Amino acid sequence: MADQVSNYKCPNCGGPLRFDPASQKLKCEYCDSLFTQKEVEEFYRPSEEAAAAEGTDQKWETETGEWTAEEAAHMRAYSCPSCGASLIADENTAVTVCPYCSNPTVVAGQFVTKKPQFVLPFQLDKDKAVEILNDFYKRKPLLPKAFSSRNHIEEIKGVYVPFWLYNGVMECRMDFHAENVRQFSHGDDIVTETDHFKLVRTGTVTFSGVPADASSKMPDEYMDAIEPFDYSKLKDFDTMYMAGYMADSYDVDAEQDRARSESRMKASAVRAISSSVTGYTSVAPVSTQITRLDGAAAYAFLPVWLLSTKWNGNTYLFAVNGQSGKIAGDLPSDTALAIRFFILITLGVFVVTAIILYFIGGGFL
Amino acid sequence: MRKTRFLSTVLVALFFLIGLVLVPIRTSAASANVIDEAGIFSTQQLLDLDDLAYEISTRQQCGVYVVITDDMHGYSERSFAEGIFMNYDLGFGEGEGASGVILAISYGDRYYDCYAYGAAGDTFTTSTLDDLNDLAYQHLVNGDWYGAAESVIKRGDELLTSTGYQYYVPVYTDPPINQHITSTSPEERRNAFLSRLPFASLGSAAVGGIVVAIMRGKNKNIGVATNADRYIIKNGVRLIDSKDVFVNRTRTVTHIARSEGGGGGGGGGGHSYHSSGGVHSSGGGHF
Repeated sequence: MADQVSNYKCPNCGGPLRFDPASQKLKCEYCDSLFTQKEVEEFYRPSEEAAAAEGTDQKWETETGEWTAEEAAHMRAYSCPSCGASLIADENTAVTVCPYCSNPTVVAGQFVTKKPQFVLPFQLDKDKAVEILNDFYKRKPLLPKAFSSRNHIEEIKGVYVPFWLYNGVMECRMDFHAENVRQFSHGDDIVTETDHFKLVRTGTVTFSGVPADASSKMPDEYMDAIEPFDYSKLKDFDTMYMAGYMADSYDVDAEQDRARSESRMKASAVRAISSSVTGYTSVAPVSTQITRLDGAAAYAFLPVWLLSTKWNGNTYLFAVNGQSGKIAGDLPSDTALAIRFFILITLGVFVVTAIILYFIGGGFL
Repeated sequence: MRKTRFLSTVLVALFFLIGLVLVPIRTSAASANVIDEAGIFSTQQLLDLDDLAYEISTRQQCGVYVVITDDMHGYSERSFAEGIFMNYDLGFGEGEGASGVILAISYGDRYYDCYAYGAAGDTFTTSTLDDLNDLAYQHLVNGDWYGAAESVIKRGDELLTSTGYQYYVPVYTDPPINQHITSTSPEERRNAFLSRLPFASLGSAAVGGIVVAIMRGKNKNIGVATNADRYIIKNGVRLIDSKDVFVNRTRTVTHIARSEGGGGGGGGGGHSYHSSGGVHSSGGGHF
């Protein structure tokens, strides 16, 4: 649902309206403007209509395909009994370890996944991905030595992660209350003059390819962190790109993922429209209405190098963008090392502070 | 883990040592011409000496003082007499107009020294102060505390008379001395310093915590995206309607109270110029 704000506020300045018994009208407590109820309703009718129209957002047009019998014949499906991941690979690619949880007992599964419309082929090879991962371990003073010294890197897997790529047009109407403040002295007085303005901005913002991963096994924060992908390299899907890699089957459909991508689009639309307000001392948004005018989602496989490893009973997952090399991960921290650093830094800062205080205070030795 | 425990012990030990050096705050003695913190003089002796010094000080318009302390109050030997004079706010006249001479004796350290400030510096030059030191020493070395005090007070009176001393407010070409340092004893500054250390330690711990939190944060670079700015197509933002409507103007007036007077030129009128206001002897001595 789009944001919907259509409560009765002062049409002039956005301040709250209260019924004024003396005038029998609605009165703004802020700028003292008076309105009849009819006038206020007339003013807000367009907003209410726009808000009501949000319920009529068009259904996302979803673009997926079906595997041909020949294509399906050369693909194999697997499932992980440990985490439930559903994977596919071409018939020549052995899938022995789950890329999400490192479980080594992956079993054959049922081939039910939809065929993606696009694929972004891997552009980084495994060696480069390993190099990036090694670099990621560097300059991490709190990383446990035992963690980085253990060699799990050969288990890195190239996975095509299913994504929905959303296109959409957001229409955004925003009302603002803005002020310009001028201050000057007049004799022994300081005079502050404040000009109040009501601003209206309406515009559309067009988005293309907002990604949302379509796998419930893949943590969203990892996939968001390795963005962006260069869509100019997108290809129509062909099983040839699967050779040597596995793919995760989507289990989150375009409608389920829509809220996440729309939320991102709305935030950006608000920011883009707000940025058109300039030249005021202060600006505060009073109301915002966002309506999606158009939208479509395409199903695509995007390349990700995945490494999952266990340490001290916890599973740590790392993801490397198979195109740009951007890495995302959550490394463990050595608590004892953190305490040691804390004590050393505290001591160091304390000594320096004490020396400064000593000299500022005039000394006493 | 062992290193961590060691560092923790060092931290605790550091704060413990700071606690050990904490000493009670001393307060300045009450205003008098003869001050005996060490309890050397009998009450009668103290009254007699104080009456004598007070009478001379009033008549000559120059403070004459004898101060016996328990210890050096944290001062070096060089600054002991000056520090006592300043810290006890001695002198005939106020502030930079103060004029006086002091014999300061540390009972515990068996150290003595003379110092003069203000207009008294015209009479009590370094060589004169050395003479007063010698005079005091002759008595102190024999344990004659009363004699030392009395002889210095009387000799001071004679010198003021013989040199034709007259009180005036000197004009100083330099700031007399660092006001903060002269108005506080080293012990007071130490106590002020120590009183700030708990806050310094809290601040240091906060800095340490923030730095470690940042270091921990470097181990994690994942996060949910909250916007889609990079997916806005080129020229994808289209403004359909843009209205800026002036509503009203509000005006507030704040009256600024002007301070009275002020300004006022300076100047004028001292008989002579001192660079700092104080005169030291060549050095005090032990007895």
